[in-house]
Amino acid sequence: MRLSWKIGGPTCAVLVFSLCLLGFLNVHKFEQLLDGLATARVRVTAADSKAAIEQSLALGLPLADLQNIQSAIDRARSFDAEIVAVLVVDLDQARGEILYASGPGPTRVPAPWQALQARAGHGGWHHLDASGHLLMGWPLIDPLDRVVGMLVFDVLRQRHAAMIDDAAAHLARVVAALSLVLAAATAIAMWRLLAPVERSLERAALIVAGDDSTAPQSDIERLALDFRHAVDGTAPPDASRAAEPSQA
Amino acid sequence: MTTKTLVGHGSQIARRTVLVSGVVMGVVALALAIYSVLLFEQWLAPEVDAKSRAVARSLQLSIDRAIGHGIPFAELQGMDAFLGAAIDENQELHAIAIVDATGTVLFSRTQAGAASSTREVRQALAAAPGAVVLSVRADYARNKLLEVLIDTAIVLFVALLLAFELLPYIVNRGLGNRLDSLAAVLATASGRDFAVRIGDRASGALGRLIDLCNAKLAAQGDATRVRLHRATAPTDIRVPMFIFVLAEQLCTSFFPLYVRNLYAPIPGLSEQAAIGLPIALFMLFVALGTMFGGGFIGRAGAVRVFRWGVAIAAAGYLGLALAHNIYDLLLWRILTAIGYALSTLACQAYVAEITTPKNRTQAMSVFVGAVMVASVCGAAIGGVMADLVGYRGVFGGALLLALLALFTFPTATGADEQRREQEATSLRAVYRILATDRGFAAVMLLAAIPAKLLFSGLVYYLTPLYLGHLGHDTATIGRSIMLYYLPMAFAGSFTAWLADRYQLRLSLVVAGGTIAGLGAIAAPYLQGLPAVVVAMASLGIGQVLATAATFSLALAVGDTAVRQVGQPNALAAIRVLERIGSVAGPLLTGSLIAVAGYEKTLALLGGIVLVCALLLPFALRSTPRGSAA
Repeated sequence: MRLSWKIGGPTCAVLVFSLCLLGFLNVHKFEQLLDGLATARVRVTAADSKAAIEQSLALGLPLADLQNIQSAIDRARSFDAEIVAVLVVDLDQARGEILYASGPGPTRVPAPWQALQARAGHGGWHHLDASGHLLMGWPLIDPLDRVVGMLVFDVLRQRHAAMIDDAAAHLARVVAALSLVLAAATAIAMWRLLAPVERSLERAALIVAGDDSTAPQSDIERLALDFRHAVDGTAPPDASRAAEPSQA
Repeated sequence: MTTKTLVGHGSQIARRTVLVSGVVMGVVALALAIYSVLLFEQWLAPEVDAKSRAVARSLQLSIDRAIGHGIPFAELQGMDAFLGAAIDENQELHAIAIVDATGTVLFSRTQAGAASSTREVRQALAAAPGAVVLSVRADYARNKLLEVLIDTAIVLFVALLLAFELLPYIVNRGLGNRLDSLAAVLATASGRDFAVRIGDRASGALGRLIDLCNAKLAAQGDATRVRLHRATAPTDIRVPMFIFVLAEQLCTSFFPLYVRNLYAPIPGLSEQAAIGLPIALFMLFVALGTMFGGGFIGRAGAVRVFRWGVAIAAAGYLGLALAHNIYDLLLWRILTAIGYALSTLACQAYVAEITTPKNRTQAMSVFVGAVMVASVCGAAIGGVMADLVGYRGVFGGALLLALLALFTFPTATGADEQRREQEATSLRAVYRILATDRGFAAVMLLAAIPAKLLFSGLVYYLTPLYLGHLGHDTATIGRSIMLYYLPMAFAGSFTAWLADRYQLRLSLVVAGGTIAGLGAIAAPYLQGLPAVVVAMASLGIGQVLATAATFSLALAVGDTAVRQVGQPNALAAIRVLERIGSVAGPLLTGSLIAVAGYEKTLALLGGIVLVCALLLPFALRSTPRGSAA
């Protein structure tokens, strides 16, 4: 195998791998930004619904008896095409039961009520489920500071997933093109660096084989000539050139 | 002459390869980053507008509700605070205005700082003739995407460091070492010693030349005395060492967070101290492994001990990836510590075996350099990986890297495998003699141990937990930790030279301790990420000044004791003794955090280092050989 391939190949592989890693991380960053914007947008809408429901709770009625919740969650869903469902889950009296639902989203509670209550202790939460739905939840707190329910938004992430796929495909094409440029540049650089070494080694082999027409031009060729004189006994070697094998 | 220039040929090619690759990679990565920013901006701008519309609608609903209660539109109260809160929560907004039907602004709020250009989002009110008008920063998406450029720069920097480590290895394995062997054997034969053959095999022109030379040598007869020559170099060890330390450092940015996830009560320990326990045990077992592993190297040789070390560490990483709770995690962490101690000892032994006392110090710097660069890369890459694949996935990556290190370790230790002479002095005697030397003990207690206390407390424990508590991702934590290792990786040899050349040992130790201490003391005033960044950078600068000088100072002031036990034993003892600080660091930090919180704990640790550094000159002045400093 030629030296330029032997050294250039792995070098190129290291560089292309680094480039692919950069491309991958860029897509990941884009995904993070996109998700951040989407959750922030839904949070704004959800904050309005949560405020409206908690204002009603201030009247002292239990969550199940409030009249205006259905209209509040229907309105929230109508504001954003990606909000496929809004649920209000009871965590007080009928624990884990869906009291109000808007939209054709999940009809069952996204987690056991104990888990929802535990999450409520940490404020808002979000969870990406296996089917690509983003579930976001906020605790509903009554005037006595008790968590009485959970407001859950089911957000469709298909459009974002498509955008991320699109971005990944775009960037993959660019990375592929840049990899070709990188490979070509590396190949040229390696060839320029290593071709003279390879030529020198070939000439040194000719010298060792006994070719007198090849004049030594590099250190390795001069060393090869000294070596040939020594093994052939044709000329005394230059004593100053003799050295012990290097340990370094 | 000829032999020497040939021997350097591989390194020269490696340097040029690295330079060319770095330039090409830099240009291509910049092109990719710019393209990514332009591409993503097109997609993100409509999302920013959609979010702004949601904000406008929310404001409209609130205002409509207030008007619905009968408050006249122009006389709404508390609008300044209401709009102020909205603008603070939504960084993409430059201004919010509430206008009436004629377009007259009734209420408004503008964010500090000028916006180069804005887009308008308008939402009509339902309860009164008027509208909510938002000015959205047009450059918001682009500014967010500039983070992509910063990330790219950091990842590129790490990728280039990786390439700088791997490319010389590739060049030396493919060409450099074989050229060295060829040159050495040709030179030996030129001196009419025909018994040495080139032991390396190669393909292509180099292979043909090697085969031809070996055939010519074989034709000289006398096959009984034939010796094979294979070139070895300290740099052979750099890549295996680098990969192994990289594997270990991958978890630095999140390890305490992982421990917290698996926390179960440990009797007698607070939660914070329990989280610090695996880190403290790791440090303890590395110290014990370093103390007692030397005997194994003497008996089994560096290659075999490295293999054992990697196998033990790999089992540890597998266990960490699958850990159930803090109890089994402790066991796995101890295994990784033992593996780490054995592997690093084996690498040091390999360097010692293939070098002479004359070139050993320089060769060891190859080893130290690999450890530092791996630490820089490991902290940054581990943080990014944890964000992508989770904590357990990173331990899986560490396992694969450790196994990869196994395959890159040289299979033999060179032509002349020599076992180092076993030191006659027993370990117990070494520590007793050194501990009773007042000067040596003062340097250990007031410089080396406090420095490691702050290091392990801040780098391994406090930073991941504090930044995680503040909501920063592990990539940011990894980059913050990288700040400590950067000066250590690139300025270490310069400050070591400075300490020796100008005999600035005590000054550098005091200056280093003062800088590191002050950086940590500033934490309560800076708060959050800036506090960690300043503390980490100060610690890096402080320790780069002090580390080599501390070793020199301890050897100089403890001269009599050092002469009694021998310098290599004294150096090994310093490395072990300073780990007392590494062990105590996480436990003390955890206990302090439980009482005083993150910032005050950092300041207290800084205070300890600062006070110790300032006391050191007085402590040494009172010792008989204090002037040696």
